[in-house]
This record gives sequence, C-alpha cells and structure tokens, in this order.
Amino acid sequence: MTVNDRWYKMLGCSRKDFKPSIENWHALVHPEDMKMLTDIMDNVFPDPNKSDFYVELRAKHKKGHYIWILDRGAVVERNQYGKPTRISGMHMEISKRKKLEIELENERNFLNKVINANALSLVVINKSGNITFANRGAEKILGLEKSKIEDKAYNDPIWQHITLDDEIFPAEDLPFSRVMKNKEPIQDVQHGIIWKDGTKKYISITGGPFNYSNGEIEDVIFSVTNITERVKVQKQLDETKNQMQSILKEMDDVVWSVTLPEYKMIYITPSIEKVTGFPQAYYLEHYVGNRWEERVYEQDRKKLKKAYEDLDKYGSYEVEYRIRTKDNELKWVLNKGTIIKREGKPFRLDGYIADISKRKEQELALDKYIKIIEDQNDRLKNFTYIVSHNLRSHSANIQGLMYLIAKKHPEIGEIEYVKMLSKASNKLDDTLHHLNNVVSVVSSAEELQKINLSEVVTAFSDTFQNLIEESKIWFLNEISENVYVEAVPAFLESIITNLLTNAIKYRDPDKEDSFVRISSRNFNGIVIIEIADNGLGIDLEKYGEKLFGMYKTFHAHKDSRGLGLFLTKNQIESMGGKIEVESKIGIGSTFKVFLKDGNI
Amino acid sequence: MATFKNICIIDDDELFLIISKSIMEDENFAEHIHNFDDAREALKYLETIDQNSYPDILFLDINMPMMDGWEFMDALQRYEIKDKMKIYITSSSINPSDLEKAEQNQFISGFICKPLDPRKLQDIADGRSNIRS
Repeated sequence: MTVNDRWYKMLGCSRKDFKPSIENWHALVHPEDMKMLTDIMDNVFPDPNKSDFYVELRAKHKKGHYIWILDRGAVVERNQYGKPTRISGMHMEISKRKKLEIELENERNFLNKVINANALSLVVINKSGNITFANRGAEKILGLEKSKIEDKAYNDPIWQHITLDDEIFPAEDLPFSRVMKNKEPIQDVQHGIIWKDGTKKYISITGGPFNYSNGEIEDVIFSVTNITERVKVQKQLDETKNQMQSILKEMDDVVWSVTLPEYKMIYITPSIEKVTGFPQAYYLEHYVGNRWEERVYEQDRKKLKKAYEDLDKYGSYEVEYRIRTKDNELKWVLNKGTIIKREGKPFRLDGYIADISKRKEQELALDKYIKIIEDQNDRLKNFTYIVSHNLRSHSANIQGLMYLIAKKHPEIGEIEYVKMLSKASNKLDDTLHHLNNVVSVVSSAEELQKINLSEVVTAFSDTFQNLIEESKIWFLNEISENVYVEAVPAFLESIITNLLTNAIKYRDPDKEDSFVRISSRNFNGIVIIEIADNGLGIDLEKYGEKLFGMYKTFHAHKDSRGLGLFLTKNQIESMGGKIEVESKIGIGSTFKVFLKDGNI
Repeated sequence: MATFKNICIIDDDELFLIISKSIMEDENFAEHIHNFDDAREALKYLETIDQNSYPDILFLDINMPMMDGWEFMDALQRYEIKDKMKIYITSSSINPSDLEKAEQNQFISGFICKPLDPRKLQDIADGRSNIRS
C-alpha cells in the first residue's frame, strides 16, 4: 500500500507515524464501519465481473477524533486466476458534508415527530378537495386510520357535518370551502361531525392556504381541535341557564342581587313589574338605593330599618312591610336578603321579594275573627258562670226549704205534690251540677298524667259494689295491670264511671245473664278501651248524631239524664282522644274510648 | 251543748241566711248565729266585739254587691283576726278562678257548695271540709 503526502495531511500524521499497509489502515477505520470494508473484500474483490467500490467511512485522525472519508477505488490488475493483484483508489475527506447530512436527518425526524404528535391534529387538502395528508392525531378526531383518511374528499359522506346545535351544517360554510372561496385563512370555525358508528365529535378548525403554484392555491392545511367535552359542558350550562331563566320568567316572586359596597343592582327578575308596576330596567339602569326604599309605606319604614340592623348584625334579614306601587296602591311584600361573602368580605347582597298581600289580608282578617271569637267565648264563659251560679243559688235555696219543710212539718212533706216538688228540686240541682261540670271541662286545660287504667276500674267496682250486686250483672274486668293511659285523673274516673254505670243502668231486664265487660288493647301509641254490654242497646239510626249531644235521653228509663255522654265526650276530646259507639236494639252496646298510651 | 259558740254568715241572699240559720239551729250547730246581708256590716261588727266573742266559724259568700267576698278578705287583713277563726267560702259558683283563689288564700279553710245541709255541717264540725289538713 502506498499513499501520498496529502493522505498523511488528511489524517494529521507523517510517514514516521504510519507505515502504509492494509492492516495499519484497517486499524484506523471506525469499528462500526469495518463491516463495509470486509463486505467489499468479500464481495467485490473475488468477483472478476466487479471492480469498482465506494464507501463512506470514519477513520481515526492523529488527534484522536474521527473524520469522514470517501473511499473510492477499483481493482486494476488481476492474475490469471482472477485474484486482484493491484487496487487503486482515493481517500477524500467529507466530514463537512456528512455533518450537514446528519443535521438534516435529525431535523426531518423532529418535524415528523411534531407532525405525528397525538396532541396535534393536522390535515392537508389539495385544491380539488382531496385529503392528501392526515397525521396520527387526526385519526382520533376523524375516527379513521390515517391511510383511510388520505383517500377521502373533505366532504366525504362518511362524516356527517353538523352545527353545534346538531343541525345540518351547510357545505359551503365548511372551512375548506371558505378558504378556497375567500383565499384567506380561517380561525376557530366550530362544527360537529358524526362518524359512521354514530359517535359525535365537536371540532374547532384553524388553518389556511399552504402551497401556491402560479399564484393559485395548491394545498390547504388545517389544524383540528377536539372541543367535544367543552361543547357538551357548555350545552349543559346553557340548558340549566335556560331552565333557570324560564323559571324566573314564569314565577311571580322576585329575585335580586346588589353589589357591595357600591350598592349597585346587578340583577332583578322581570317579575318585579308585577309587584311594583315599575319595569326591570327602572331598577337596573342608574339604580340608586332609595329607588326601592322610597316606595316603602311610611308607617312601615321602621320595620325596614330594623331589618337593615339585622343585616348588619346577622348577615341576613327577613321582613314584611307595605310598599306603594306605581299606581300608589298599597301592597304587602315579604323581603329577604343575605350577604354573600368572598374571601371573608361582603361583596354581594342577594335577596327575594314576594307579593304577600293576599296572605296578609287573610291573616289580618283571621286575626280579627279570632279576636271576636275569643271575646265572644270569654263573654259566653262568664255568662255561663253567672247563670249557673245564680240558678244554683236558687235551686240550693229551694232544696234547703224542702229539707226544712220535711223536717219541721212532716205532714206537709207527705203531700204527693210536695214530694214531687222535692224530686223536681233535686233534679234541678243535679242538672245544674252536671252543667257546671260540662262548663268546667270545656274551659279547663288540665295537665295529662300517666294513669294506671286497672286501678281506676278496680276503684269503680269497689265503689259501686252495691249497684253491681243489686243489678245481678256480671262485671267482667279484663284490663291487665300494666295498661297506662295519658289522662286527667278526674276526667278518666268520670268517663269510666259514666260508661260503666250506663251499661249497668241500661241492662236488659229480660235477659238472664246480663254482663258488662271492660277490656283494652294497644294500637300505634293509642289505648283503645272497650266497654261492651248485652243490654237494651241504642237505636243508632234514630239517635246516632244526637247520642253525644246535650240533654238527650235514649231510654225510657227513670234515671235517664243524657248529659252524661255529652260530658264524657267532652272530657275525652279535651284529652286529645275520641269515642265511638256500636249498638243494636236488643243486642247490646259497645263503647270504644281512644286515649294516648301512657307507656310511650 | 251546741257544737260551736259563735257562727257568722255573710250572704246577700236573705233566703239562704234564713234557711242556713234554721238548719243550724235544728242541728244545734251554734249558740249564737250572726247573719249579715252586707259584708261591710259584718266588718263593722267584727271591729266592735272583743276577742272572746270572735266567731269560731265564718261562712262567706263570694258574689255580693257593695263588697264581695274577696274584698271582705282584703279588708279583714287590717285586723289580724282572720287567723283567729275558720273561714269557709259558701258559694254556688263553679268558676275555677274562684276555687283557685280560695285555695291560694291561706286564711280560707274550705269551699262549701250551697246549699248547707246537716251532712255538710257535720263535715265541718269533724274538720273534713278543710282544703288544708
């Protein structure tokens, strides 16, 4: 191997440093590039039909770095066996060119990466409207593989074009049509597409002319952004807003909002006009605080002042007052306000106004009626006390006189009419006594106590033992010991006594085994006391409504008074209970008393 | 021997006075029975008598013209003699507020419902008609 001086210079060495030989040369070649040389030696040299070779390889410079060398040569002599005997060639440094080549390659790779980045969707359409390029990112939006996109027209029916409101999108307004028509770029043109499978995507398109030829547009490039989520959220927001607005439009009540501390009205529903007669704009434009307050009825200003004090103290107020409408009519309104804070500072006052004139009228009327009724009730009560007191003092005197007559003039007492007078006087006193009881039940508000029912019934059978025995009636006490009711003790005693003595009194004298049975059961926090007998029974069809009325007697019985059941019903109802009756003439009666369970 | 020495009845109802006195005499309830149809007269009488003649029992009506039972009780306040006798309210009133007033007045021993009869007089004699025991 022989080399010239320029070769030494190229590699930065001298004849001393390098003894030209194939082995020494190969030692300088970059190990990665050696394969190219061995390929030449294995393929070119042995083949008599080949002679030229050409490689670009790296060789080690004296200073240690590699330089790019173009190695070009040919077999110039072969022996009779075809083996190369002389090879001639040249080595030329190409480092600069090689560097440029590598930079270009890197740049191409970078651009490819950019274009095919998923985050970016790019489409190029040629002047005839055919898509000539789509990057990877476009696949996701257009719903097709890159290769499938690239043989479609921009308006291929595989994509149904729609507006953001899901109407048909006019073809002439599609971005490509617009760019070709106006020869200008477009920005943020929004529409939707529906894929073959029904998937809906909303997109925003920006782009414009890309390549020109002889002043005519050759290609158009578009960047496509997926705005599906944004559009969906916006649509939901719009829908909610529409709903809110139609609600606010429909309702009679008023919602308002005022900024703080400027006290500028920023919102008020149009319904304000229904309340005050002034339109929405009256309050919104040039709103000054007293535009509302100046219409507040003079006598009610104090209430508003008090409400504003509440607002300062508690951050909210609620007040009812009268306002003068545009027509100077007085209306009652309910006004509520709450301070809205941002970062701890009041920045808005939101409120509510409702026309409550009707309610207020009814309230005032009701108050008036209640007052009248209360007055009347009081007068009636007083009247009842006075009447019963006066009547009783007279009947007491008559009784006293009857007693004295019988005692001092027994012979007069024996006169039949005097006996009847005495009886009449006793009955009068009895009736007045009952009347007094009724009045006191109606007008008293006694405290309810927890009372053992069994003890009350036992007390009855002890007290009325004689009556029970004389009547030859079976008294069946089936109340268990753990039954408690909520009642006024005196009332409960009176109720039990009344119902049981009635049952005994109105027994059927024609029946052999007369009985009265008292039992109870618990039901949903209520104790139901049942007093059943097989006595005369009551014709409910005839007397049903009057049974518990004042002064009704149902039996042709000597002791019938009738006030008893009226009193009983009143006592039960004053304790929050009720009484029911079932009865059949000749069969018997069952009274059911419902009282609150004392065990709950 | 009568049950009590002195009895006072104050009531504007003359008939009640006559009947009550008659029954008391019959039952030998008291040696002396003083009837007053005007509470003011009764007050005057109580002012004039000496301690030994104070009534053992005083029956007092509530509803009276001129001076009613409660006014009489208030007027009595000045004489420190209320606690020297037993005072019973006799009334046909069922006004709960009267009953309540009677219960709250510590100088009132009981509330007797008209008319008076031998049984009620016996109860008083036995101390069974007292509100407070």
